[in-house]
Amino acid sequence: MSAFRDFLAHQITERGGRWGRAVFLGITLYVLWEVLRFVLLMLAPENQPFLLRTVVQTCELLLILALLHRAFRPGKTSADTFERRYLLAVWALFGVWLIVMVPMGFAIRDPYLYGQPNLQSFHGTFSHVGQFRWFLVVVWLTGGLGAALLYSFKKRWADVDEIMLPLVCHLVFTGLVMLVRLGPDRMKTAALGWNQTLFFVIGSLVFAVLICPPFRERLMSFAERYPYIILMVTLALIAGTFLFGTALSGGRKLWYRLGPVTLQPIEISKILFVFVVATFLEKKAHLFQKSNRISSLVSLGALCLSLFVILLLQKDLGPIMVLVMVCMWMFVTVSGRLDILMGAGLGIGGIVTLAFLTRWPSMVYHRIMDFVDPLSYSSQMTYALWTQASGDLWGTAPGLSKAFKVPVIESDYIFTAILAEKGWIGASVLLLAFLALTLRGFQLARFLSVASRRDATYLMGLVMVLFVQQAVIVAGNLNLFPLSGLTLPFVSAGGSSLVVNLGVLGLVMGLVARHTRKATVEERHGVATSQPAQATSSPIPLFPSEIPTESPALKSMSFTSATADPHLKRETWIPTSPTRMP
Amino acid sequence: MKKSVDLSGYYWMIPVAAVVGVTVVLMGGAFRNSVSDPYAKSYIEDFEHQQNFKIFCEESLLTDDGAGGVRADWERFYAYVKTNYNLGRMVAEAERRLATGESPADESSPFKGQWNRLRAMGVVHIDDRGKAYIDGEAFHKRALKTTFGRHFLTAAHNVHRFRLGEDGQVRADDFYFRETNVFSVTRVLPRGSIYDRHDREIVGWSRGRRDYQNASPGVFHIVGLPNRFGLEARMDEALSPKPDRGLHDMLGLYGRDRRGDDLQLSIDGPLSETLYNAFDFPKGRKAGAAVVLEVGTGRILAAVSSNAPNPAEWRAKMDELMRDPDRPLLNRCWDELYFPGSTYKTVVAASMLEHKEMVGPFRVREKAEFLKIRNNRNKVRKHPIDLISAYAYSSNTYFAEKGVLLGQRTKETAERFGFNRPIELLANVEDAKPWTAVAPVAYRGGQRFRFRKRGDQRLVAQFSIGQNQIKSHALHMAGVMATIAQDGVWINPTMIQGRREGALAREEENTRPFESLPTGKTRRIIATDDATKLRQAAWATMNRSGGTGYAGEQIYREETEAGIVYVIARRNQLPREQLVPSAGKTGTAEHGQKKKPAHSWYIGYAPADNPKVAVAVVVEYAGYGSTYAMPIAMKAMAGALQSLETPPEQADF
Repeated sequence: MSAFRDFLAHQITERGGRWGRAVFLGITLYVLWEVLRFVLLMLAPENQPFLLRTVVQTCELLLILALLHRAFRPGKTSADTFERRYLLAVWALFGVWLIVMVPMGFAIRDPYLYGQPNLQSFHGTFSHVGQFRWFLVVVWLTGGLGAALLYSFKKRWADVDEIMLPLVCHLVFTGLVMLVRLGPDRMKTAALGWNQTLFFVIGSLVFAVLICPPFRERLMSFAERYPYIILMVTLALIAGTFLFGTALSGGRKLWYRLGPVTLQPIEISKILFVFVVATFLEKKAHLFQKSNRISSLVSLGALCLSLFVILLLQKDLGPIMVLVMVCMWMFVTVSGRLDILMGAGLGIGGIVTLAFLTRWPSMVYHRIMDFVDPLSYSSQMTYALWTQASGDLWGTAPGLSKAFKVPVIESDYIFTAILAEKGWIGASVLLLAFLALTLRGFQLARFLSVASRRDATYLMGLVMVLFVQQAVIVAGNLNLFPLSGLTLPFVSAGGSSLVVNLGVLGLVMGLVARHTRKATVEERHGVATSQPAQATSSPIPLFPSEIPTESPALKSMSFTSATADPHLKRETWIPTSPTRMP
Repeated sequence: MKKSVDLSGYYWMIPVAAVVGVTVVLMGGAFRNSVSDPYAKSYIEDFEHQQNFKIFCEESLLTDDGAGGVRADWERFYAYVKTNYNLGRMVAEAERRLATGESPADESSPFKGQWNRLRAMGVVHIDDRGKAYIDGEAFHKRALKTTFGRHFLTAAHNVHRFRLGEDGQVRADDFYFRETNVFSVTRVLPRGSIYDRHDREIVGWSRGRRDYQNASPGVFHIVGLPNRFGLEARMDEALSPKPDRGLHDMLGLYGRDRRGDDLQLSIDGPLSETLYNAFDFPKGRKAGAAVVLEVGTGRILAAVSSNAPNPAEWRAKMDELMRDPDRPLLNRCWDELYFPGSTYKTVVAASMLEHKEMVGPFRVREKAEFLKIRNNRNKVRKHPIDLISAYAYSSNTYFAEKGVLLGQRTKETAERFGFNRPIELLANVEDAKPWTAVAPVAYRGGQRFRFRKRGDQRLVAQFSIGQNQIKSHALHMAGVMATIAQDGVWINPTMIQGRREGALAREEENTRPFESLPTGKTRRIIATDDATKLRQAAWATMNRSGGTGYAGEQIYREETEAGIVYVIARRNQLPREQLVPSAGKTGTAEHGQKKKPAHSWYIGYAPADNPKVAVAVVVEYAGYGSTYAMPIAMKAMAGALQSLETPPEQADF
């Protein structure tokens, strides 16, 4: 009894002890509760897909965060190891998602169409589900093949960066997972997914062509010599659709048909046009920076207008929007003239307002009204919003959303599907992937700006095309911005889009590789090197803060430690020209 | 002026910040659309509107699954497709021929063309040995490509949203509230119930859906439909269930989830039903509206729109109801405007009383030629009459001439009485969405009136007897009568008198008392003396021989052993001392449509000496106010008096 009294006295006098213990008890109980909840959830079979989805998406999120970290702070692993590990991890996750979860979703979503009991007499001899799963395995393997091809080509010809390629593969896999289940029925969706997979492989070959040094150099020297031929090709490709184009959707002739393949020329033209603008800006940069005369802008304006007018006649507003933003971005990057940018912004705002008020082109009016009041103007947007609302934090598991209700979900609205099925977490992963891609692009452009300003501007333009396109279509999906018909790069269904975007990746790497070379053995082993830090991380100096002025590695560097470091045995690429050092 | 910005040093921060900023904004937008979910509330799936749903039910393609639910019967689906669709017929024929060994591909056979089509579609294959067989899978896919097939597939995906009606028919669920947590565990929680003033349940909740057992058509427009109109829509925030967000949520357990709040209306359920039935006339049902207000509080005791549908059946008939030319979904109590006819003379009389020089005895003519106004029934009067007699006999010429003399001043009075001003019905509830009755209109035509001009005087004369451009609705006119009964004070009408927190989701009974809500805001309209004069006039209409309402039904109060009973009977059919004197005004409003009887109006209150209830009744295309609207109004007032005398614990339920 006295012990109890002592205990009570202690509790009353020693206030901190009592409260601390209570809090500790609370935390313990809470943790136990969480464990219990988790176990119960594991046991419930109907929660399986939800649980699995949560696990897989957490892994995905961790992966992308690791990659973002890597983009800014070089880690301990070598670039090559990091890249390979990331690719393998993403491929494995993709496999789980594709082969385990997609059939699970189909089994839940379509029990009447694909379940056993009702269709015995119509099934014939084979089991449908099994067959579909094999198809998914093939998609998985082929996707892996595409990624492996990309990796090997890049390794062979331009091993300059370990961030972009895994990111792109991540995005492509995300798109594939969505596409193999988004179609209205199993056969159509299989066709969509398979198409995309094939174009991924084709795109990796295009990537190879653009990145291999002989072709790359020839192409670049041609482009440098005859930029106006490039411009004319750009315009001709677009204008040709008036004569030879076919209309696949919306009654607008935006495609070429080459046998079984359809091609959207704007995808290629965008890239070429950005090149022309970059060349032009670099030639005239000194003019913009100094003078305030309008005449220095006239030719640039004419250049841009020539393309935009053609696009306007085709009522293809999305690319115009992207190109305007990218051109303005490049202009400011080169000239630093924010005042002209503001003037241009006001002018564009005026033009859009005028188009809205006069309702010509009427599409501007409709798109803006769809944006302002989607529930009464646009059923497509309405369904998209409802579908997104079903996503919540973690998303419905794959196959369980109502994404099939949204028209053209597979191209323009793929972000809606991702938001619905992978939830806010999955959508954030996607957005972070694009962010990392863009930031990496900035770093590369910064690296190039010493060697060749033109190449740097072009690279900046290419990266911004991807980013702006992504931002515009995602904002359109979320009803933050009027929607216009654009693809989400690397993710949306669309062969020409995927192939061209992989080509863009090839160009980016190629542009960087033009100004780097393989390190010699001595350099790799730290003899007479000016850049010891290159050995363990990316060869490219990143932001100024990351370039060590007084590197501890440099001090401790000796022959023994260098040979002991396994990474140094690999071949490494280093810049050919002096990089920007503080 | 600075020509370029010097950004040396950290200029690379600009693009990085821009890109990161855009990404953050996009992530925020995604969060808004997915997690905080602003658009999902407007989403109800209507399966019964879907084409072909009827066929699914009639042909039993959707059937009882034996466990209280619904099952999609694919066998019957294929049987139906094989008899009713070309593709199915062809396949059936091919099957028959294959089974009997008849050669389908004969040159002479009439089936050859169809056989080839089947082969082209890939439904029929011929294997290596030349043997033909039907590819069930291909047929299946073809069948699902048709509209019928697609719809059936959708229905099959959503069988959990169907239920079996009492008659064994499949119905779509009428309201489906889902609460989904981060693990997508779904539960269905009950909405709050709505009770009438004697705590009888009007709509409740049973077995996962709205229960319309006790709801009569008389309360249809009050209760309304979830997410569409009426209290269900306006009070959605209160009636929606209150899920308890907590750890249990992760498991889909119920925890301390609450039902939505319960509402206690001032409406009387049985009275509403009686009034709804009162619109059945020997010649058939008439469209119209009746509104009963409690005098002194402004609470609505009944608001009946006479051709409202039965709440229990709206779901099945939604399409029909929307297309019906009689517009049953229109709430005639306050969403439709009528010419008030003679009942508007109340307002003109009030205006006259405010200007004393108008009130003296006045000799009226049979026809006011220059005003083009005629009296209806009452004869030429040799001697001058006063305001009270003119009101009681409903003399058109009297009020027309007075109206012309009053000119602009009537407009002021009318606007004080609530014309040109919308009525807010749920102003006494905090979290209600606004529910606004249509504003009655007076003197608001496209043209501006010069009250002095001769041509316009004819117009003003018509206005003064409630025609031409004066329009009002039953709720407002009941309010006008209640204002007079309340000594000239307008009380804003309200319909919700109590409210309580809902029970826990698992509790059967809610024993909490209702917290009472305040009554509507008041405003002084006319002076007390003027109101007393108007009450005399209204009394004279009903109780002075020759008044327009004298001969019709009256209210009588009988004391039986069961208690006090209010009944209606024609004058002098029951003992005189049982009479409860009422007061009011009849109205016969012409609407300008050829060969259709006029709208019939009655507004009034009872008892005349100590007003407790006020009423307004309008019957469309009926005839004299005293023959059509008045009996309904008397029933309404008798029922309302009965209802007011009945304490809650004695109500029969």
